[in-house]
Amino acid sequence: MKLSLRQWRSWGLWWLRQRTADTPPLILTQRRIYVLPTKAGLAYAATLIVLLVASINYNLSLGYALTFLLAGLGIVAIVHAFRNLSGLRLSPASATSGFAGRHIQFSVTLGTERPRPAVYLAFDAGEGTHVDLGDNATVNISMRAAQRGWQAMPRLTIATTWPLGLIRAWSYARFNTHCLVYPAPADMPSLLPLGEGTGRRMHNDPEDFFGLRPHRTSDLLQHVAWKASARLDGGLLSKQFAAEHGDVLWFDIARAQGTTVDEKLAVLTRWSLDAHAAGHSFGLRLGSTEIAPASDAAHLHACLKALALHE
Amino acid sequence: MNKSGSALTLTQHGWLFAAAMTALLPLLPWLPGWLIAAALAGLVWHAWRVRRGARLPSRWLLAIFAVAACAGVHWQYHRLFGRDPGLALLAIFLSLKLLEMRSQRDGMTVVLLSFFLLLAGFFFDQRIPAAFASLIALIVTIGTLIALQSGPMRPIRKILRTSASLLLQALPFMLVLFLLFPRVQGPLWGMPQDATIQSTGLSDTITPGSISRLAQSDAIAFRVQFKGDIPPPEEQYWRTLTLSNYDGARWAYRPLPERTALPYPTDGFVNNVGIDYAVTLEANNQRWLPTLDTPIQIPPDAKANADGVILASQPVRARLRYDMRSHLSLQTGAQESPQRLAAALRLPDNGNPRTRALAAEWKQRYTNDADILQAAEAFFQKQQLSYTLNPPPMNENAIDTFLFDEKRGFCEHFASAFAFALRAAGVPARLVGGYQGGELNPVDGYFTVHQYDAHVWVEAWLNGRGWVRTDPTADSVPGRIAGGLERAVGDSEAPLFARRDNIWLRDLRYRLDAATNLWNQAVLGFNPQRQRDVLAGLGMRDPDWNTMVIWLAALCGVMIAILLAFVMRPRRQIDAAQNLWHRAQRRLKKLGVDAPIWMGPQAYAEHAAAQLPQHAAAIHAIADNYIALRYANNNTPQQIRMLRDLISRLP
Repeated sequence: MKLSLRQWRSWGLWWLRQRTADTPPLILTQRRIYVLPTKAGLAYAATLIVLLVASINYNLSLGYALTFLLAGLGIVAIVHAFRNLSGLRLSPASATSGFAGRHIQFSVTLGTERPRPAVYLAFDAGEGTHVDLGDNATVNISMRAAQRGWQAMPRLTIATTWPLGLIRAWSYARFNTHCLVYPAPADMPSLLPLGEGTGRRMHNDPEDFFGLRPHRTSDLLQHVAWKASARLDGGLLSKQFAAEHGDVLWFDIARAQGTTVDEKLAVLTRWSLDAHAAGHSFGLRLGSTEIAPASDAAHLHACLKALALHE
Repeated sequence: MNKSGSALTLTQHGWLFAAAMTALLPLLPWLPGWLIAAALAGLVWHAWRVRRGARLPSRWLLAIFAVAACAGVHWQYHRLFGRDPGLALLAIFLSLKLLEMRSQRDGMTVVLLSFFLLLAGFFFDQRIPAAFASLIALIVTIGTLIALQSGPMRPIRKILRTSASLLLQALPFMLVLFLLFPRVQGPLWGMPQDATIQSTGLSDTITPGSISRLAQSDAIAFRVQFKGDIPPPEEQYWRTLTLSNYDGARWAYRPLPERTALPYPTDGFVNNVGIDYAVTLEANNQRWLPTLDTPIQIPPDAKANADGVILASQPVRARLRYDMRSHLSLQTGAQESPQRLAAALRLPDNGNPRTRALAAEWKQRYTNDADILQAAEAFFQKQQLSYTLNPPPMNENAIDTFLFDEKRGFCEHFASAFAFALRAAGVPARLVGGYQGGELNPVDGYFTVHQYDAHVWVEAWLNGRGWVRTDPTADSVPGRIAGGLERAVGDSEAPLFARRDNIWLRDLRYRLDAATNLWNQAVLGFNPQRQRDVLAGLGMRDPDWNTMVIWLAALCGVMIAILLAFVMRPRRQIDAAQNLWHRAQRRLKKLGVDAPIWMGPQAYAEHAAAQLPQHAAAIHAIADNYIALRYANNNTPQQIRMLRDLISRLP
């Protein structure tokens, strides 16, 4: 089979569209909307054939009428499924960062001039969202983030089986949007490193719980964290108590446990989160990068971003 | 999107329940009682469980139910296949499926089963009310499909309206498919044994009382559409079958060889003086096709026997329409064979001595058969016989009793006695069963013959003239022929439907009957033959399969385009706001505002208010309203009304 120039060209355009991002706002037109029967639609078609054969065999005029009315309904369902997507305007709105292995969310703004019931949005891998659009709306579509760093928004599927579930109309959108994925925090009780250098001793002041560390025989028995220890495979953990406020912690990748960079980043992420939750000021050192100590949310985000993007 | 796995909500259960009910309800008269009770019990149990949120019954339990139900169906019908057991099994499976519904896929199964049940209902009833019931069931079933769509709960009324609207949009496709889909005459394989119908009508024997029983029925025997004038009542003899075997008690139809040609010459009549008409015969499970007097043409697929009776190739199991041409004074049987004449003289050896004596007297007095016939007619008139629907029982020597003692009877008594007397006098005679008269429906011009028009008369054979029709009932009770049954037996005796005094009731009956007839002719009677006729009427001469499919595809394409244009049309409300704004601008221009109309509403209002300071407030109000409508997503009907009010208040 020889393809004509025209066919080559249209195939090339299709190939290009598979790889290039759409410029927002993306308006769904008939060139982008695909329509095919669902499994239920195929069962419906098979039923119609049986009904037709029965009508022929028994000369049932009303049987013909029923079969033809249902066939007409199938055609109407195609038109309405197509209509439910046609003219829909999509543009990326925002992205909600998250940790690797957890869910992150991309928001998409849907612009419509008429109600569109039962519209379904999903990324290729990930559970989708059903919405009944009455008006313009912003919809969050979540996905599981695989690894830290910039996660490009995957291809978005916009689909509908409205009104009868027999016909599925769908379209794809690719937007050049990214979402920051933080490293997954290490799945371990927080063992915050002591301060710089020699390390000052912590005063085990019961007023100010700070974190946990492995139990030492010299620790007081009442400082053993029994609940946390029970979750651990072996050994005991002791509660650590903060010194006075304003203690500055420095988290350095060189001092984090772990064999690989990612393991170390995971530990640093855990430390950062715990320190922030406890209201401590902390600084982060990642090789040549250094973030000065602070304790606010913007600082946490800056640290997490640095951890996410660390080479 | 993997929706088949999602669980059903309570509302969706309710919809499926309603769909199953609307599909099952019209079938109740045709299902055995125990099955209805079992299915209802199952459904009520199911509804109770769903409401309580109980777990589904185990598959084992359902399997036991299914096996028990199959056993019950087998016990009822002695088989599992065929129309009636099939329907019963469908009804059971639908109920059981409701019991084990888990996901939306199960919901789809219930909907598809409902479609099958709707079709099954048409096996039993295809009349207009049944069609309406099915339409309502269909609206609910399609509503169920909509309710199965995921998303927030939608109000019932809105779903039903969407469902009806979708069906309305599907209607043009149905009409085009109905008209153009190439029809095939069924059955594709053998019609199941139980697909026969039970019906009233003439049978192949006539005994005293058989026709008067038929006269109690107001069922329609057939309808006739005359192409020309309707013959006068005294010529409306619908010849259906001959009965020439007499055993002393009953007259029986004698099967004769069938040919594709009529047993008498028809030359010279075929093209000029025939009466053309089309008969639509109701299914009666018999092969005889009623014809007006003497047919001079045989419909395709039919044959004629030696007595001139027209027979269909198969018993008529579905309403049948055939074109006929008849003649009212054609000589038949002039060259009848001696054997056939001898058969038409055969009488039992004994019985009815008084009638035999009378006949012997005629035979002695007259040498000519025609004179004997006249004498017999004269005798029947002289005896002052009366016509009644309730004749007294006559067993021994029934004909003697009727003619000399009781003198009351129905047409079968008259005809039987007359034919007996003729045969006893040596004149070949036979009974003819059929219908006499009929009623013109002024609403649609169809001529309707009911079962109560059933009649029996006599044909006698005269040398040189062949078979001659003679109606002893007409001789004795002339009113029967001229005025119908009710005139002959009197109002008190005639069944209500045959009385013709109640004008509004009659009018209503005419209208209902015309509607039924239209339904029968246009919808139920739309078979391959009618399809060819209708398409020829639309200008498609002899369309073949290909042409029809091409037309079908083309028309469907056009209709899809129209439907797309219809559903994609811009929303009216937005236009309404814009139209109102344009109207305001026109009004203001008339009032002397000089501002370009392409200006934004805000700027335009500033301009206009500056030029018409006395209306400044009104102008600003209109502009603000319009802006709210167009740009602030505040597009409600109330808002539109408010804008219209404001504009109308401008001078």
